[in-house]
Amino acid sequence: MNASLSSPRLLLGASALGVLGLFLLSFLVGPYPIPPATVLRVFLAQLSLAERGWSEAVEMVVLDVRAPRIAAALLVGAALACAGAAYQNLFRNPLVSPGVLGVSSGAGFGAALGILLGLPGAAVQGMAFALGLVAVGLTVWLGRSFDRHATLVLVVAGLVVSAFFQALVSLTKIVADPLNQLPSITFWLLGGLTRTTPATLLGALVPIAAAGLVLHALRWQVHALAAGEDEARALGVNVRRVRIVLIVAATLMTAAATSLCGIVGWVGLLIPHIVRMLVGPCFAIVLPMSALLGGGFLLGMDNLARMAGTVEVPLGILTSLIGAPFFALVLARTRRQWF
Amino acid sequence: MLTRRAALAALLPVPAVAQGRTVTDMAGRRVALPARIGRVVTLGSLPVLNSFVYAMGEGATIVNGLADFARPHWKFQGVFAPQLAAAPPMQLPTREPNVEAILLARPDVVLTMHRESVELLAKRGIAVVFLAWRRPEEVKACMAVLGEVFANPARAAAYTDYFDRTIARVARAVAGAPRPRVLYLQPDTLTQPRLIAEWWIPAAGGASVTDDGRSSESRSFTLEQVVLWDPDILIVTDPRDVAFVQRHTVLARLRAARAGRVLVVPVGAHTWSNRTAEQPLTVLWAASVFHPERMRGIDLAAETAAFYRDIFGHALSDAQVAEILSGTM
Repeated sequence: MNASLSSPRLLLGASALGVLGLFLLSFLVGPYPIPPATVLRVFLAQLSLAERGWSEAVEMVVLDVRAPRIAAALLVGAALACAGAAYQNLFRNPLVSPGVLGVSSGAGFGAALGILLGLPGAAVQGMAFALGLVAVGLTVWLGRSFDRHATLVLVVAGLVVSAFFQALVSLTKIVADPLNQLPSITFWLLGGLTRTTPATLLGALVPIAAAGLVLHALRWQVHALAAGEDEARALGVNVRRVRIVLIVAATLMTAAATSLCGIVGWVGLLIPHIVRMLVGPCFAIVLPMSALLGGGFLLGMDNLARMAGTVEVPLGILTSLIGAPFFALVLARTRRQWF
Repeated sequence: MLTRRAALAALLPVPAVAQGRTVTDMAGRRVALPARIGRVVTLGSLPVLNSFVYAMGEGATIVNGLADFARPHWKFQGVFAPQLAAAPPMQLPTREPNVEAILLARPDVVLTMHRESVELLAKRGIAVVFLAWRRPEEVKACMAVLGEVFANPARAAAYTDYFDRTIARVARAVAGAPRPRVLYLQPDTLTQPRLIAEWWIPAAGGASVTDDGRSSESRSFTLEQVVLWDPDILIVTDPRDVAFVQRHTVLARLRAARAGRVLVVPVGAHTWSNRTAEQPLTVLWAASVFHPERMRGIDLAAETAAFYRDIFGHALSDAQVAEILSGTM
């Protein structure tokens, strides 16, 4: 097995270097002109390794405007891509996205409700997270009450729950005050990282990191599951338990990511595809590779959003504009069966 | 549904149209009107249209109420036209006219800035006057049309005269003064929500940082762009926005926030920063905060009270004037 993985491992290492490069370059993107050397010195100054010779605005732009957004883009992209990869493995269906069980619609309704109630930003994030989990809970409950074992039923239940929460989102938009609340709800649903603060970032980081570790720990069992439930059982995998843990972990990640940045589509669908195209279907490699490419993709998109002049294009629009045709291209190039 | 509406329309008495009285609206349509306008329906942005009607001294003729969301925002609408509190809204949440409610209200005229509503209602025999306010000073053209609608051109001319005198007075007062850099901001979505602010900010002797000759109503931008602009003055439309700015990790450190120059726009019949007949007061207010030293001779509270008394025909208490100027919603 090690021999067959050597090339994927090389790709993983190269991707890590690529994302690191993009991460560093991202600090140079933005309308505020700051020379690369100054950016470096701002960071060194935090460690008392450089003298401060710049305005407070420069430091604010590097540390409080760019850094949280860059970190959030990496985190959200990684979370959505990993959750997408996990769901696609679970349902053995490459067309499944992290929103399949209704988490995005639930989170969207939670945020819209929070804005409607006039709650502060962190509470809106909390509402989005909680309602995202509630939506998936409903989906799982609904699916199990029809058929305890069929995964397809779960997908249908997800459609039902999504439609229900989308209707609730529309309802909040109708009753929202069109002066302040409606624009806030609309911007939230379009997705973006402008609202990121260190506190909201930390709020999302904890569940995403925890769920990521769980997925990592289960990587071989998830891989076995992709071959089929009977095969996995034959290999000693507790299929029911792995499926439940997988759903919980992927949902936690998606809910936390969505609550941080709103609804950003296509990352969770597109990235796992590209990853499997590059490194094959082994989940143990797909997972870290998805994290890297997902983070890198969203960071690149957010850089584009920040670069596109003084007008900011919402991130969710960009990922869809670029992700959708790219996905079509990927599909056209690879007609192979993944699982 | 259509036939039911048509049947309903046929049952209702048609308002009497006086011989020969027609008004040309801002779409160039000739609209037949009764001699005396006693019942008016406004459709679209009600605070804007109602402010015109108040400036004509005809607030008592409005028969449609504000949408539920709007009532707390613009409570002075209820001061200028107390009957609005009990009046039913006549547009749907989608802002389309509620045709049945309008037919039932039997208006003498409907005032709107929506082209689609014009066709929809004119087809059903309702007199509709279209008003347009795209370029800043078209407010004067709107008032001229309303002068014809209410058969009181002298009152419209008095408004126009006040408008021109006020803008000229401010221009003289701030002439030659260095222009502070101003950002009119909706802080939670990082947008400049009103194109008209690109007119009243320079008219008051300020330089709007978002003025790039755009034609779209709102403009959004990045947080970093705001840091790059680092304006001298931030203008917001809600006192809660001031608290938002002060709590924000980045906005709170802008020059304007540190100098305590995050200012809330006053709210009367409408938020003064939006299109409203109160726009001369917007320019006076903005000039007084941009250039306090140049505007020292002007008592903003007295000017405000005089505007509502002379133009709207409504005497306000000192407390009400103070409330308007505080921008409290």
